Amino acid sequence: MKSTSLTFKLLVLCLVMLTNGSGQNDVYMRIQTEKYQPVYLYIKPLQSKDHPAIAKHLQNYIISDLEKTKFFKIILTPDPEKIQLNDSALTIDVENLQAISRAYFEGQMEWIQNSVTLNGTLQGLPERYLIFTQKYSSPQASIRWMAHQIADDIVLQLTGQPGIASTQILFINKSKNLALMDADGDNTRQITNNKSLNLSPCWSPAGDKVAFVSYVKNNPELIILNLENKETTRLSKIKATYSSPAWSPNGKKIAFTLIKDGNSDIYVIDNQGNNLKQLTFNNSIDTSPSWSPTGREIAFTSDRSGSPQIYIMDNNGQNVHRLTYETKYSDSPVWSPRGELIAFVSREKTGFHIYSIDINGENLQRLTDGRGSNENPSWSPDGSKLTFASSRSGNWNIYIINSDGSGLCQISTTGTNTSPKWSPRLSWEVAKG
Amino acid sequence: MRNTLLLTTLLMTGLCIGTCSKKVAVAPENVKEKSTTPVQSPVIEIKAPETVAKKKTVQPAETPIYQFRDIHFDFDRYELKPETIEILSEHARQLKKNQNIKILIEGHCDEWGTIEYNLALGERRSNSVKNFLIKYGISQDRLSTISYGKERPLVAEHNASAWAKNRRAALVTGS
Repeated sequence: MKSTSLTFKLLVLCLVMLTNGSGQNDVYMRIQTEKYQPVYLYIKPLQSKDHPAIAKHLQNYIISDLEKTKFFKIILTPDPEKIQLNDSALTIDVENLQAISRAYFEGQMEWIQNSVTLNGTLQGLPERYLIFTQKYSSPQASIRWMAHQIADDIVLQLTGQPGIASTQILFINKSKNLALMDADGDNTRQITNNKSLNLSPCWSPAGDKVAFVSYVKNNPELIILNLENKETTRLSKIKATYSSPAWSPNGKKIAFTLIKDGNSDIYVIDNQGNNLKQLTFNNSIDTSPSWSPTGREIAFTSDRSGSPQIYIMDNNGQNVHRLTYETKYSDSPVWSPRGELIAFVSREKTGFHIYSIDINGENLQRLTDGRGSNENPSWSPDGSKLTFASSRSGNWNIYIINSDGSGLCQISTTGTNTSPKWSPRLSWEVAKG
Repeated sequence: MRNTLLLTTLLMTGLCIGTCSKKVAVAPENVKEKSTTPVQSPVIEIKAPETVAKKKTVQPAETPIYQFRDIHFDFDRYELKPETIEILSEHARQLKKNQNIKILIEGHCDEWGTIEYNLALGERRSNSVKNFLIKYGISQDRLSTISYGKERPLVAEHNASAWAKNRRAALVTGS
């Protein structure tokens, strides 16, 4: 027992050393232990006689996805029974061991005609009751996406809400074209190919289409790209400058900024490009609309008070009210998926920083620090994280941060990447493109 | 005891896998390391010199070449400054002299604003110039506007002098 407690102390020391290496991890660990009671998830090491390296990769991808959620404490073990006996070595909260939720995931790998198959089983502990059993299959090249799906299924079963590993991030790349990458930064590919400027991309709620602004016909206009059949549709029918499209949560409308005679106002149009309706009638700059998750309200930026600030209005343009007062220059509002928060950017000495505020205007919180500018925040579909573009490394790249500002993570490295938009949850059919 | 050690190792492995920096696949401490790599400006690939050379010269050759100088603006403003009104008046006189010239007025911004806001601000700047020229008697059908926001800076540097030069309306000639 003495040696066990020594081992535990060593483990804690190792953790402290690990976290001291990076301030971000320090915060992450604190949040993990203070705010959330993690589920103890025991995972049997994946094995494959013929392809041990692939088994190892698959296992690491699954664990990596699960750890990012903050919901789990992962313990790799071939035998969950033995682990339970030694649990006191693992947890500070020994007395509450009975109250801790525990589960065991086991996967059997097989090869069927160059495809990797995994029969996954999730059991509740200590009774070992079956939570789910599921067969996954994938070509070897896309085992990473298969890992994302397995992780998301485990998250769904143990937390009640779907995970976000099977999501992608849409962004503007160095050549000013639209590009996609998986939410872990893997699998980057360009999806438009013109020599023009393309800006402000956004997702349809189903994740099957994207809307964006393009200068491909010289004047900036609104274009919809169908990701499944690659067809493009021009949404803008009158000649003007179009900007910042935002798809309504039910997929039927698109809010955007239309700039005519120098004045920019917010409009909505249906997804066929018909029924244009003007929502703001103001002589100042109104731009960057973001729908509430119910679709009933729209947050936007306006400089009607003298400097850009965040406002909220009903989806018919009524009941306008100002949300931000404490920040001098605010822009890029994005409504959180659960509806309680709005993230936005505020300008400071070195550039923009990401903030969040409750929709009643209280509880203003700065989520980023450091140098450079941080722009265009976008929520993960579960509201647990935000992606944004930052010049903090000297060049623009895409980053992810937890909604409380912890766990900063750089996911693109190629540079000059901007305007990230987090996708809804995607099926493999949509995701493979 | 052996079990515990094994477990510790396994747990540590799990924790290491879970940390973010591994996922970026370049170097474990890459967020910090990045800052030591040469600073690549996001705007460096924009072909500013070509734009200047091509767009600022009045053809045909028999008329003396007139340079339509950029009209500059204050930060986050689109009103014409007193010192630019003289420049713009001369532009207008030139346009009256050369009736076959059409003008595209490009509105541009510095990097101190979001992409979307700057697109609106750039449009306002180009429109301020357009309205001035119309008041001066230039026909509206000879004038069109476009906004590039902060996407096409003239100077790809990050200092006050560059920002001042980038907050501009550029008059591009065509016929």
